[in-house]
Amino acid sequence: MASTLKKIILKSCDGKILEVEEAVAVQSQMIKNMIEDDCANEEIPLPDITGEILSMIIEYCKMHVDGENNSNNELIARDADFITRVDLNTLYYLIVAANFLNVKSLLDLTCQRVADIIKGKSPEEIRLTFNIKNDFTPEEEEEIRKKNAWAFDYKD
Amino acid sequence: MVQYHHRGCHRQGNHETVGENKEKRPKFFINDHVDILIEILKRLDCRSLCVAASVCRLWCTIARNDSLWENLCFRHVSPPPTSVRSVVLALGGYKRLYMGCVRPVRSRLGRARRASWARDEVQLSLSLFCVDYYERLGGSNSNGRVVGESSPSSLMFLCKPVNV
Repeated sequence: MASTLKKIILKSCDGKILEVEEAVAVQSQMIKNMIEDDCANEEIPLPDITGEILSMIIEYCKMHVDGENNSNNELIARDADFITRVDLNTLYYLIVAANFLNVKSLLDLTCQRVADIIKGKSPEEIRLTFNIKNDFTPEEEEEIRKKNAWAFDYKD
Repeated sequence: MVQYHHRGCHRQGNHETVGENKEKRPKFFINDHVDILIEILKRLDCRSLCVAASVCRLWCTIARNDSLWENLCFRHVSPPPTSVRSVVLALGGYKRLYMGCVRPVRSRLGRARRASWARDEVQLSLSLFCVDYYERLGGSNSNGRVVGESSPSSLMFLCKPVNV
């Protein structure tokens, strides 16, 4: 493999060009595979990722490379700081991009964040948050609620 | 790695602040990417997963998926015991295992639980699951019908305090 100072050039779908150190870029398993296959010498076009999302992902990867020597707790605190700055819509685009680029730790972080948003909410609150239509018939909904009645009983 | 579904990117412009992009970027719909929705629901706890089942049909279908319950059963065990899968499925599936055995065992152990017990907890839960199955089998034979969701009497000790 080439030296870690080698730069990888990424191009977002809205034409933004970002130069990234190889050590940062290989946090993405997809890019790592491309480098290993010697396919990363020219700019890598990322057709579904905007410049803004790509910058955020690079910021995250950089934070993890720079923080390699830090304690685990410090990294967790930084992750939490990173993720709480993000609104739900951006969070979702981050998930899609982290999934495409295969950055496992970021996929874990972002999906866990959405799961945490779901936790503790009632079905109606979840529908409101995510703009989901209730497509059950009243009978079906009643039956499903009955089956999971214990979950709605917060004394349990 | 989950499979990636292609979806066009229609953003115009590039703004630095997150808030400004709300109108410029199409609003996401969580049910559009089922694979990602599964990744998200996989990270819920048991209670939230049961509540999530009442959100809509798609969420209900995903929440019934046994692989999510397998994940819940063995989340704290590394590596998860995959070799028992065929046995668990034959005895009634991971949701039943979780609700009938794993969850009561964990709540009975409560604060006394230790990380080093993870493997023993798995063994205990699986043993109880066999008892559960045996009793369900007995119940369906003697009454001529399947007992269904009701817990077998031998496992009641998990739910009620017992005087020893």
